[in-house]
Amino acid sequence: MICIPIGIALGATAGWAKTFNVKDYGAKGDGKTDDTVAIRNAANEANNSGGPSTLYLPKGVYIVENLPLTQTHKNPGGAPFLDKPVANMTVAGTARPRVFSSANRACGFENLDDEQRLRRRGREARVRVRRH
Amino acid sequence: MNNASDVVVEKLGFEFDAIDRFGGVAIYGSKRVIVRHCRFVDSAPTPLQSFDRMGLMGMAARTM
Repeated sequence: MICIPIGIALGATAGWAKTFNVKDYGAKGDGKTDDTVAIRNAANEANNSGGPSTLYLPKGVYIVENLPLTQTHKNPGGAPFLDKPVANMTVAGTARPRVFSSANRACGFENLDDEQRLRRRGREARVRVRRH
Repeated sequence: MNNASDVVVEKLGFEFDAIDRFGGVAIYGSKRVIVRHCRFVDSAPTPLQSFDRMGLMGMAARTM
């Protein structure tokens, strides 16, 4: 009973899933530009492709509003929404991301060795959520 | 994300830069959602509010 839904969910990661790179839809990933609309458009295209899909975020820092993967019939505040609920999709970065921390604060998710190891790899993608 | 199904979120870090209330990544009414190899961080100071603040929140989800 438990294996069935997990298998279906993991099917989105199979090799035959179509990949939609958010940068092909105008996302900058520079940590400055608001990439909400680009990611929404890529997600919409992936979601409407009719099969398993992968929404791929290459290395970078993506600034997004808090609703890029939300679908609803209501649209309060004019925020962008998807045409339909997300289904059969993998939203993936490039590698296990390192802990993001500000200059004066330690976030404490990982020890120093692990942090250094991940920093050397330097292939993480981060999503920074901006709220209004 | 709401009303989603069969979704995997992986290999991403989320920096919320101040969650004012509830969740940074919120998953509502969804089923068969897997979140793996992700980091959830709010580097902003904790505001003086009484609301719960969470990096990842699932609500009315059937399978996560």
